[in-house]
Amino acid sequence: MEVPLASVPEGSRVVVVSVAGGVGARRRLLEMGFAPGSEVEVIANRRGPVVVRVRGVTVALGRGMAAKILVRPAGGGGG
Amino acid sequence: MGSGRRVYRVAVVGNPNVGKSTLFTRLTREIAHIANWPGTTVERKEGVLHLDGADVVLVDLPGVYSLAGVSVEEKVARDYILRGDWDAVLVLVDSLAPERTLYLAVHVLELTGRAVVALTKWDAAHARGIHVRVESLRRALGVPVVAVSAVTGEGLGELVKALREVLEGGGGEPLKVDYGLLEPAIAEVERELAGLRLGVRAQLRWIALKLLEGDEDLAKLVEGAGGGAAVGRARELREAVARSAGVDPEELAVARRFSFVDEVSRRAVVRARVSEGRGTLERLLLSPVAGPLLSLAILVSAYALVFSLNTGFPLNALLEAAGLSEMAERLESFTLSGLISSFFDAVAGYLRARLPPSPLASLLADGLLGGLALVLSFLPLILTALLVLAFLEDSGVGPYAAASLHRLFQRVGLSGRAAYPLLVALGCNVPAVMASRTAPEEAERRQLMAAVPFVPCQARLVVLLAFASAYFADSPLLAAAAFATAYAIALALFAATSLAVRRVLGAGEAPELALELPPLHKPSLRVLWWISWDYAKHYLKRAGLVIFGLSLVVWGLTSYGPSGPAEPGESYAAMAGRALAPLASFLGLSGGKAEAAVFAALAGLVAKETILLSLAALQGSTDPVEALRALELSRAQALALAVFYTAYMPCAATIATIYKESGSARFAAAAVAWSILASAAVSWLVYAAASALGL
Repeated sequence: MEVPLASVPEGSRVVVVSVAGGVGARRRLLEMGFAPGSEVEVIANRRGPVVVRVRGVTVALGRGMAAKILVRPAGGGGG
Repeated sequence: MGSGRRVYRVAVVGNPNVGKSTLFTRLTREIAHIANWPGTTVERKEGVLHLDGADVVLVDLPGVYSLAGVSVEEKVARDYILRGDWDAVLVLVDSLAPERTLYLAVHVLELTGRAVVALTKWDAAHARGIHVRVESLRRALGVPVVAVSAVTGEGLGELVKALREVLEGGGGEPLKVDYGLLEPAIAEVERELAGLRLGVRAQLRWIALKLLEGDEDLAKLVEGAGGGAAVGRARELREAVARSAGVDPEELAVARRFSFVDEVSRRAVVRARVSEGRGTLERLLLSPVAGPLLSLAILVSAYALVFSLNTGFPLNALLEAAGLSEMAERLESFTLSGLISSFFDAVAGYLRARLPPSPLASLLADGLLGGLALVLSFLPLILTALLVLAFLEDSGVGPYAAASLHRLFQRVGLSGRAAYPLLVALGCNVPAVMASRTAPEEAERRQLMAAVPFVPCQARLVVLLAFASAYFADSPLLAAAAFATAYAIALALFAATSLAVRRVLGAGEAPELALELPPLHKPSLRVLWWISWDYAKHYLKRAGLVIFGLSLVVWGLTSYGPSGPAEPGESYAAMAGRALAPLASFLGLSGGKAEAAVFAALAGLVAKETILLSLAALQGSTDPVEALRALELSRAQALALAVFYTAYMPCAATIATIYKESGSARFAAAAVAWSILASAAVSWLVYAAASALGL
């Protein structure tokens, strides 16, 4: 069950499956820590940027960016 | 003497927010050299560390997440690591987030073993219950690892010692990461590359991997060295791997590097507390409604503080409104700008009294001293604005505010980070243009540099106030409406310019945000001071010279005429005003009114304050409001002229700063031309609309 990070409710823990997007933006996201397998905790996701915690760092992502990151629930087997 | 001293160069590289500026400043104290990296507006800083028997030049590379070469900063960092004249690399790893920041270290160590890793923010890591086993990291990475704290100074001596050992003894082998599925492909491309002279300081394995990751720059380099076959083979293998593994090699390589980091972290990093509690302030700043409001409140009060300290505004306006004009005046004379200008007034008065009246005395007292005073009167403003900017940035408040205001700014083609330059601009455009450098992408920087001059700075506020009291004083409601109109138009021009520049540059939709929010903390004042003083010196050296030169030119034009020294009314500037007077006809102005209006606009180039002074001088009056009334404008004309004066052109100092920051005379000229055109068009519209309303 893969969903875009932008649609994950606050407080959830998910794991990055893949990252889409243009060459530059995608590479940037990967290297900011959103590599496949990285665990992500969603801290704020209402209006405005999605705020997450990934690899010990808090990151604010514009909704467009957050839509490019596909994730699955952490812990349970997933997709 | 000193002929036996060796000079070493060390490249310093780290993620954004890793604490690089802090450590850099702490290690070197004095930043020796600031320039731009060739062909970019990215700043290049070097600092020297004097050791006994050797000097170590630290070359500060831009904060980057990797050496992929996606952004300008990454290209700069990568080019220097690949081709620069460094003797060792110092990689910074954030001990608060080793799981992320070790990535860059691994990336660099795959390239060279002549490196030292510094674990920054060691004091804060302890406080947060994060423990990093330094020895275990050293074993895993194969290079010296030193834990440091720029705040307490812990570990700095040890770091210097480790650097020295690597510099004098040479380092180990590059790190080898297992790329799993990619390994056979790497080996194959490596074989194709054998024998090529690429002129870069990287092993063939590293280059082969980069080619497989689809690095276009390196592909060009290899092709240029006759390695077309290797590049072609890499492309085929890329596709083959993507087909068979279902993931492209780039994502695979990044993921493998991160899993290497994870393996290392599992052994070396212990987090005593699993999840960090967010503070109340963080939570508030991130909430959808309170966040933007709180962010605005923080930024507005920071800005009010800076400008009250420097020029009295907006505190003086509040006092004035409360009927305490005496206190307002006293406040103004004790502000930093007030003190500097009274000092220079005193010196100029002394010179005029002692020297016989002559062109030379005038040049000295008004021209040179005036220019110097102008440059220096901006200095405290810029210094304090930079200090606040550094505080917001370093404390972490700035990034939070940027995130919470992002939605608002996206509508005008900017990201949330534009909030600070916009607010600073309300006080003075010069530091605002300088603050545009915090924008992560070049297009956004240019948008800000072109748009910021439309924001009425406090000098123009004074002009607006004078117009309001000269023509709208009888009706407070009308005065307020006129005022609001001028500000609304200014903000609309800001927004329109930003969107237009983005369009012209073809930069696409509003910039997206991927912004790190470092934990809120109390920054070290010493470091803030070092960083802002550094930039202020930069301003003095570069923009200062241009401002000084321009103000000399304007002085010459206003105090000389065809027959030598002249009164302002007979000067070249006045003649130009007469010649250009027909231009003012679009506001229905002609004759003496038009000449005065144009002359004031020309004089206002050096600083917008001069608009009122020169109008007064032309009318032979000392009261600017009287002088304005004497022009006998209609209300429609007054409003239109006020709007025009607010927007018509950046002042000399701002133009100089735009030129210096953009590094392009063409861009600065285009911004100026656009502001003249846009302000003329808008003020004509205002004139037409206000006339139609019967004003």
